[in-house]
Amino acid sequence: MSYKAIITKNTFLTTKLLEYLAGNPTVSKDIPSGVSYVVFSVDDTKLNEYNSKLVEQLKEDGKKVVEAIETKNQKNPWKLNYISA
Amino acid sequence: MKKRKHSILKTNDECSDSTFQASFDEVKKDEYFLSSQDRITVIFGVKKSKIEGIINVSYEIYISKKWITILRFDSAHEYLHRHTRISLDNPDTTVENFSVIQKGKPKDWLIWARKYMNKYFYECKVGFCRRSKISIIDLL
Repeated sequence: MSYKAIITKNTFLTTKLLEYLAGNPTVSKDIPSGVSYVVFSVDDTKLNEYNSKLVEQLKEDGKKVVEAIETKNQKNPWKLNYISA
Repeated sequence: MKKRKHSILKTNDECSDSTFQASFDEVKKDEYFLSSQDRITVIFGVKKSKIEGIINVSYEIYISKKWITILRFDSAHEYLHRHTRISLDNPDTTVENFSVIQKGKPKDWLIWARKYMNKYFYECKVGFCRRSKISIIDLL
């Protein structure tokens, strides 16, 4: 997968996530400020492979990471997995 | 045709208006990684559990071993406006509100700024590289 394809897909998914979080502030109320979100697609395994490596890299850098996993559930379209450094 | 207005501002990578930031109950900062070299940082002010101000929505790239903001929006002075960094060597930004949403509430502005970045981030990166006289290929 090309670099441009990765960032285009990630920017689309992160906007979807931000839109959801902005509209549902209680969903992220237990997540502290200053975290790094990495998104995982419901159906794009290649993108998810790349993003798994990105999570590992961010953890190595000492970042507090949230894996935002897209789901097929319309009521809860994202599962947030907070990994503290 | 509407005349395009912009100004040059010597600025930090984030909105530095401390009075603006202090006007909120809470300030929340999140980073959204697009790749190991690209990220979006969102900083917003919350009052009574509602988003009441956009302190920063920025597109940043990793270059020369540091993160550099090349495009950002903030709503200091109570309207949303865009800052575009001139080049790698010149950290000043051009500031404009041309074609920037002015209606709605800060939450709408946040989503709008993010969608704007969806549409223009790559173009913005290419323009920044051209102004900085670096090849975008060198960043990959």
